[in-house]
Amino acid sequence: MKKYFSDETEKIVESYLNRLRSRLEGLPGEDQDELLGEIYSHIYESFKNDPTENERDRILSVLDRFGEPHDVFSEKISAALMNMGIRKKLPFYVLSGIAIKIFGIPVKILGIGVAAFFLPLAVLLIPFYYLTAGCLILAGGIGSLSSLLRIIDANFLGEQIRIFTMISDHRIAGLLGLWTSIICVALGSLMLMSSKYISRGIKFLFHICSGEIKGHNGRKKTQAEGCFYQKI
Amino acid sequence: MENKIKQLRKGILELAILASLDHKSRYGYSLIKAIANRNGILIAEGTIYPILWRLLKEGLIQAKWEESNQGPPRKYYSLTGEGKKAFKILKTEFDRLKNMVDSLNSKEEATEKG
Repeated sequence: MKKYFSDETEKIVESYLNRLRSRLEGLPGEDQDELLGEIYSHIYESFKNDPTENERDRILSVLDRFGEPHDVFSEKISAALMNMGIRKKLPFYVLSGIAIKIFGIPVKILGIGVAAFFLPLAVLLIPFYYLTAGCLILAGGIGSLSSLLRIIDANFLGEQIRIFTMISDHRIAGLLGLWTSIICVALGSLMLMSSKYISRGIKFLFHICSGEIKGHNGRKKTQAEGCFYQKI
Repeated sequence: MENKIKQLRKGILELAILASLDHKSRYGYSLIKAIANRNGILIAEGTIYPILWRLLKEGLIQAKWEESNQGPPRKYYSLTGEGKKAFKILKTEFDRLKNMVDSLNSKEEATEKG
C-alpha cells in the first residue's frame, strides 16, 4: 500500500487503524480493508487541511476529532455479526455477536468455542439461578428474624427450627445464626445483581431477533448483510 | 443534558447525511465538513462511517472509488433512487415532528402568558 505520510506519522496512523481493525474483528476481511482504506483517506484529507504546524500534534488532533475506536465502532459490530449470522444461518457469527455484546470485546475462536459450550447451559440454568437467589434471600430473611428473636428469647419457637443448636448460649447461637443469614441474603442479592449480565445478553438476542422478524415482514428486500444495525 | 443533546444529534445524523447527498456526490471527509459547517453537528467524525456502511448495504446510497491527484483514492457516495424516496419520506416525517414540537411549545407559551 502506498504511503502518504512521513514514517513517524504513518506509524501513528497505522497503530490507530489497527485499533480500529480490532473493533471490526469478525467482519469479512474485504469489508474491513474497504472501511479502513476509506478511513485512511479521510485521515489524510483531514491532516492536509489541519492548520497545526507540528506534524505529530497535527495527526493527534486529526485522530482525536475522528474519535476513539470504541466510540466509532461500538455495539454496531456485535449487531452486524448477529445480522450476518441470522441471514446466512451461521451460528458462529451469532455467537460472536452475543459474545462481543456481553464481554464488550471481540472474542476469538477459543472464546467463541467456550461461549458456544456454555451458552446453552446458561440458558437452561437461568430458572434455577433465579430460584436459588430467591431461596437464599428468603431463607436469609427468615433466618435473620428468627435469630434476632432467639437472641432476645432463648425459647423462641422451640427447638425444631433453631440453627446452631449445639451451642448452649442462646445469644451466641442467635448471633451466629444472624451472621449466616446475612451472608445468605448478601449472596442471593449478589446473584440477582449479577443476573443483569445474563439478561442483557438475552434481551439483546431478543431485540435482534424481533427486529429481524419485523424487518423481514416490513421490507421483503433487504441487503443488510453485515450491516451496522439501526442507530449509532 | 449534554448527553441528551448528543443523542439528538446522532439521531438526526442519518437524515443529515441523506440530505447532504441529495443533489451532490461526496466522499466521507467532504460529507463531514458539509454537515459540521451547516448543521453544527459536532460529533466524532468517525461516527458517520458505520452509518454510511449501513446505508450502502441497505441500498439507499451507492459508492465508487475515484483516484485523487492529491492523495489516496476517495470513495464518493450518492443517493440511489430508493435513497431519494427514503429521504423524502424521512424529511416529511422530520418536518411533521418539528412542527408538532413547535406548535406544542407555542401553545405552552400562550397558556403561560394568558
